[in-house]
Amino acid sequence: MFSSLPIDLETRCTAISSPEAQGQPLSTRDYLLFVVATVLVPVLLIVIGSVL
Amino acid sequence: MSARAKMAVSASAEIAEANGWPLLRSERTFGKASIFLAAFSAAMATWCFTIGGFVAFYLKATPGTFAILAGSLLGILMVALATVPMSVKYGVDSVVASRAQLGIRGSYVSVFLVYASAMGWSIILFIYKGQAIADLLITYAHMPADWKNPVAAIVGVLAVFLVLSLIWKGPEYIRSRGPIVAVMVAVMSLVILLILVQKVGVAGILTAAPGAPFDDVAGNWATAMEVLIVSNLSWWAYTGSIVRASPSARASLWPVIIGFGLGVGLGSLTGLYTGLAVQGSNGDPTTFLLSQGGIIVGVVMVVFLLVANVGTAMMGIYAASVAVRQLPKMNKLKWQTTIVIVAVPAMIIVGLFANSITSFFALFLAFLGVAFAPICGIQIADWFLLRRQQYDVRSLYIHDKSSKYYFLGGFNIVGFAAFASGIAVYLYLLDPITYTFRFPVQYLTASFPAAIVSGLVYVVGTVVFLRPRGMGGYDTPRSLSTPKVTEKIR
Repeated sequence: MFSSLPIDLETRCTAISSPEAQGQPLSTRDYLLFVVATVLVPVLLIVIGSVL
Repeated sequence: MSARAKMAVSASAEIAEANGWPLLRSERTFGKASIFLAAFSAAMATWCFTIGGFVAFYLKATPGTFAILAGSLLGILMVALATVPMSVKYGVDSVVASRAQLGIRGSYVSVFLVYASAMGWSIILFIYKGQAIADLLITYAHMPADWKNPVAAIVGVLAVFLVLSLIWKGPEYIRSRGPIVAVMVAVMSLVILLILVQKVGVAGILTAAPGAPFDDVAGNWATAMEVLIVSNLSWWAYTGSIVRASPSARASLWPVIIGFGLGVGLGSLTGLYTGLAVQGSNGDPTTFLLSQGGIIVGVVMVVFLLVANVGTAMMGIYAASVAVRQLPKMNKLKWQTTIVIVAVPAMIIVGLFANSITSFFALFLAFLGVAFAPICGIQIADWFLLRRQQYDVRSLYIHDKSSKYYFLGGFNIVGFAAFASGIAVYLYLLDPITYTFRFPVQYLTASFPAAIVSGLVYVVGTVVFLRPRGMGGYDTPRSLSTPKVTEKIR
């Protein structure tokens, strides 16, 4: 059973399943840098802030 | 492509953007600068003073500065991980994406959370506006000090009416004011810092004692960071709606981290220093500016503060109204009707809480943690562990049983069980009324355990309950429902 959607939305749902229409994902390097910025840097800030 | 065809494509993208439909990569216009400006505009508001003022209860200036920056980055870690990969991939916002975890109807809870968080921040500003005017009247019009609370309540409610009259013109008027408000608050923060340093001195700020610290040093650190984490968690909805307009996750990630994470963090430092240097101010610089800035500087700065507060509250009511319009039939209401419906509860709460802003703020912070930490945990676990970073996009928009995300009657009971478990963990670890905590909050905060438990319960519930029953689209993660109009499109 398939429900109907507005034609523009239906077209978009079909198109977005193609990698060319999707946003470019994060690479492994991006995830690593992300972890550094949001995990390691805060840990360093906590350590330095506790010592000062 | 002809000019006419280009206009048709542009109109189609505008409709998709307004309705929360997927935006195709070719239609996305937000680059790094646009995302940063949008994020920074939302984050850099006068509520930052309140956030920093709360930290001043627990830590001195030096550790408080480090805790604010660390907490901001940790908070944005959860939000960015929960929203950026999926919203950029499919061009959908966080609320639409949450249909895959909570169900088509269950995602209305997400709408409520977005509404409540946007309104909560605005209510805090309305109360501060009322208190600022009351302080002005006490200082310059010799109003009796014991009239402060009733006057603050009346002025706060009148401020809601003022904001309503300003946003009556429609969403476009409000959107264009965001960057102006952000610049105003940033400039004001710098001026306040300069006046603080001039009047109190750097040593005066650094040596000022926190207002009401715990005996436990780790507990003070965790509580201060928790405030920043939950404040950043409230960007869950904003983040999704901004990054869906970007063609690249990499181009979105750093502007989000810097714009939201450090925007709140840096803005909160002014509140921290004010809260420490001016005991009893809770980070609000009004009284200090009036008493120390002199009549001209004081009044100019307070007027500046009030204008910035009004501007920020406009953004809050706008965001809440947009969230409410995602509910069934609400998008058919006039814009003016929507903002009145949204603003009435704010008036009531402002009137009731005008004399107990600190209690309301503590309760509101707990709400943010209770609401958004579990949602982030569930979405991260679902996207990375269960769905292998794929959604059936069509099913996100179908409102009947043919949707893979219909679950039971439109609600995913596993999603709600995970959500409830996260709430229970948060409330067990951190009492939102007294703000007392239990182990291991000192080392893990309350938000991270709540998010982790929610994610674990969701994974276990899906594997044990949903997947064997073929519910939620987990049995065929790589298949997509076949749209019946595919042939027509071709």
